[in-house]
Amino acid sequence: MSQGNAKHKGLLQQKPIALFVVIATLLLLSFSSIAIGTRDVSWQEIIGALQGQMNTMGEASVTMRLPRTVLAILAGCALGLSGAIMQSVTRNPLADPGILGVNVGAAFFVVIGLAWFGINQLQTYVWLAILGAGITAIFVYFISSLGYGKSTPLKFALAGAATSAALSSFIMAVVLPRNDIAGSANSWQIGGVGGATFDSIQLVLPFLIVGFLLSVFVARKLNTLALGDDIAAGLGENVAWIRAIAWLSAVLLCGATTAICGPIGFVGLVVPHLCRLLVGVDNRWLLIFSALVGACLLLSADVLGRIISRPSELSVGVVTAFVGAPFFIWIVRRQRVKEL
Amino acid sequence: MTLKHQLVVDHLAAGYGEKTILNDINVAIKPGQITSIIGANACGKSTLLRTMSRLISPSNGQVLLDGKSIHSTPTRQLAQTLGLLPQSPIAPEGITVSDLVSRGRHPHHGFLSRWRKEDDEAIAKALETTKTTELLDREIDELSGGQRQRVWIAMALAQETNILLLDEPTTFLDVAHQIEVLDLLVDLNQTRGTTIVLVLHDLNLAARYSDQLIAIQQGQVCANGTPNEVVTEDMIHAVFGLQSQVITDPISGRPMVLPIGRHKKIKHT
Repeated sequence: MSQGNAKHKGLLQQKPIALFVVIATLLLLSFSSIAIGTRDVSWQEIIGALQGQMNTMGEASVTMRLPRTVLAILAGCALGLSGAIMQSVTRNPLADPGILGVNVGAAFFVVIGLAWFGINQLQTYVWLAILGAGITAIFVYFISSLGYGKSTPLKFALAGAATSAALSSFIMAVVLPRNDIAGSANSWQIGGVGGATFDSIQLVLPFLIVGFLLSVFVARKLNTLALGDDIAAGLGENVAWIRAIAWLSAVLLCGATTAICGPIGFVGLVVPHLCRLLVGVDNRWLLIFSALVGACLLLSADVLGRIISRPSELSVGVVTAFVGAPFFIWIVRRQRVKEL
Repeated sequence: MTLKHQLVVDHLAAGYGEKTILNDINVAIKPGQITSIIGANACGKSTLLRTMSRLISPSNGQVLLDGKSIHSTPTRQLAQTLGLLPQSPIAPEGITVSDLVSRGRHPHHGFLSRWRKEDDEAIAKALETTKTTELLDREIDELSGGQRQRVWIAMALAQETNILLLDEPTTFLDVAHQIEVLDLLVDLNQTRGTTIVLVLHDLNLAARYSDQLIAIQQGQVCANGTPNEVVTEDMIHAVFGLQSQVITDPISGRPMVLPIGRHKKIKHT
């Protein structure tokens, strides 16, 4: 056979191994998320709790850790995927639900709902969060394409940062004079998975599933978009249509995640870059790995948050910020912050 | 690919937004030949090529492929017949030659279709034709301009279309690489019978390498025919507003334009 044939398959041969390693890591982290916490538990208690027993304090804590573990996996997947899609669609290495202000936009709508419309059901939060995420995404995209020339990575990040800052101040302005909602609103300022229950997860699950399915549908098409709009059209794709589906997928994923966890930054930024180093720029692989590595990162951040500040806990949002901020600086300082 | 597809531009008007750039264009692209679109800057030659590849929707008239309007043909179906290499394609940082070229197979795949043997064969053939097989594992960023352009052409070839449209494929290349790319297009035209339409800046190269020339002036067809018919002193003056002398290219026997400016002329006294 030709060399072309051999090399093309050769590239793919290593990816299943990488996939296996990432999945194994994810399982290991899931286990530690169940086993490690502010209370030390024994093996018997872990096994007992997994079988549904709640006889000892240890078994009860393990039972409490189950939903937050599931949520950390789902939220990590959603944020990693959402970041990877946003970076691909905008061809912008700095695109991320946090930096583009999409998370804060979601939180902003939820806080408005809490403060002025007396909304206190999670089901409504989810819709508000997704609506807020969508509107903010469009707003930031619009702002960054204003002025001379087209939207560049830098303009995009600036528009997102400015929008984030403005919305955060709005949130503060709304929440500060309102003691009655300050408690619930604060949970949107710092993202966390600690308060998860299976009921709340169930509510956002449909949105996440639709987001995941759309991302599967759009992955291969994003590969054509990566070569420029003209090439994508030349390869038989409808560019506006791909963009719309991809944005919808990204917004659903990060909006639903924000509705239940609050804004968690940097996962969507760091993870796709890491995965691009691992598996290259083919979106079919990149999206799968971004989801899995995102789950790994969020799980480890959550477990780390429980260990480093015992006997209390540190929210994942704080831990990911510590990991993500230096990484963000590294990306910006790289010599070539060019379009993807 | 014995079947030759027919591309016809019929009473076409197009532009960007309110601004009309092309006005009532009628041309038939000769199947199995190389056609170059020439003209002054901003005359609409790129717009014509972009409308022919349905990147721009016409405001009036239509572009017909085998009698059917390309703007109402399903895009994926069209992409199996009509290939396109735009002026400034984007290569994602770190993409390898093999990944890039294999993306040319996109229109031959549906949502769940598997990678087939003919995909590998098409890619191998495209790499061979463009002499890029040895670059397979390299990243696009580390290639020279000429190599990069050959890789992009390989991607367009992997698409295996009967018609290939190229927007200024020789811009930014030095003269040796320009000749290399144009020779490659002739190879392609001769071995595969591919119909090639390109926008070219260099008049003399266009005259040498094309079977058909279309000269555009202010959004209208000013001349259309073989290089011998089109490249005349009068046409050059009409299209470019330039005095010139047209001689016979001693290499190809095609017409060759020698521009006449205000300076640097031998004084006859």
